[in-house]
Amino acid sequence: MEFKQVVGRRRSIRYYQPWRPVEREKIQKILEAARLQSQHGNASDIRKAVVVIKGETPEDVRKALVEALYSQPQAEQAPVHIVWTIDMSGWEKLRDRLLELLKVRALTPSYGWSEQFVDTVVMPTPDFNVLAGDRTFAEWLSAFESGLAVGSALLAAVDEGLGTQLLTGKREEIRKVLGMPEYVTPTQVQIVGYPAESPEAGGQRPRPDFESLYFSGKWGVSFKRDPRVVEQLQSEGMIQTPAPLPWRAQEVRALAATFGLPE
Amino acid sequence: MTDAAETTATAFYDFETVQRYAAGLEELPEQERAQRLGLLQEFSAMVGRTPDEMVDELFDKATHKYRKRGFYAGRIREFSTKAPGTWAEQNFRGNVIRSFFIANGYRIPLDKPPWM
Repeated sequence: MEFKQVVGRRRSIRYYQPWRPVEREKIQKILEAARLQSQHGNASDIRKAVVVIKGETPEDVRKALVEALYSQPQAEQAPVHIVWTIDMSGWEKLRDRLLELLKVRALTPSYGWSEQFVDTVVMPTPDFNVLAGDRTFAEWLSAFESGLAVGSALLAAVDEGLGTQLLTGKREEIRKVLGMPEYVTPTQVQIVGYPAESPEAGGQRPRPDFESLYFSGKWGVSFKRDPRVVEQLQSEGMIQTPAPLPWRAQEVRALAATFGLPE
Repeated sequence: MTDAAETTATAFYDFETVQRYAAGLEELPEQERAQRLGLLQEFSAMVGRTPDEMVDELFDKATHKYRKRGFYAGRIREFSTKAPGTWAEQNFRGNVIRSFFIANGYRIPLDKPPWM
């Protein structure tokens, strides 16, 4: 699928076909997309995931995970759960990862990079090596790194024709159920499956006004939104019909009846 | 507890929790609205509590924890299965009550369809 269409078609899908498994290769593609996403902090070892697959993972584990997600209906319906985590021990491999980047000439001497620079400047400097400084910044950057990967995984799922959504749950229970060590924090659970609702899922969701979010040159000075660009993105499928589509209420009622859910 | 069975329909609609639930039914045809409110009144009589009492005792606002969730889950299941009909028809009765609680901010566990 074309990139702009993938971005435009992505929705948080809340109804899934529980009877239809997701092909294992599609799950792998989602994980590959996460792995290749930008890693600004160069600590790629911090963002890891545990995949729980209906019919493959022991049912008692899956059941406990769904319960830890507050037994939300979509968590029960979706056949795949990707439990994204932050593994803080991954920061300990930062030096090795930087040296790898030097070796493959991604980091170059032209910009001052050398093994000596890594050891004498980067590793002791909190702005580069978060473990050398404030723990709060380390956690903040770790969350940012993880979010980058998960964002990529969401789009990859859409590109594979799947529905996907992020859920949060009881983190401590999720950690225990999936056998995670204490230095690992489960962050978001990405559920994946074939949608039971239409791909539009009622239309593109509301967002704050563009010009209230982005500024030009100075905080508070709006970055002007060009209507011609908006038109172009509409024709290319990134900007789509906003929710609610006229038939959404009937769709929700039909889905509720299908799954025995309250309306 | 109030003798909810003796509450007239008009008085029943005056409960704050019922009004909150009814506000979400406005798009439904009048007959369906009446059916759902009737089922809620029937359930209220069955458990011997007014709608406001049901919501009030379900959740402990001081501890932010459910207090009688198991009780209501069980009574809703009983309310569903005491009527004749298919699983979907029975479940519809229970879901009306679950929707009432949802409209007032609280979730009651669902019963999954047999095919799930």
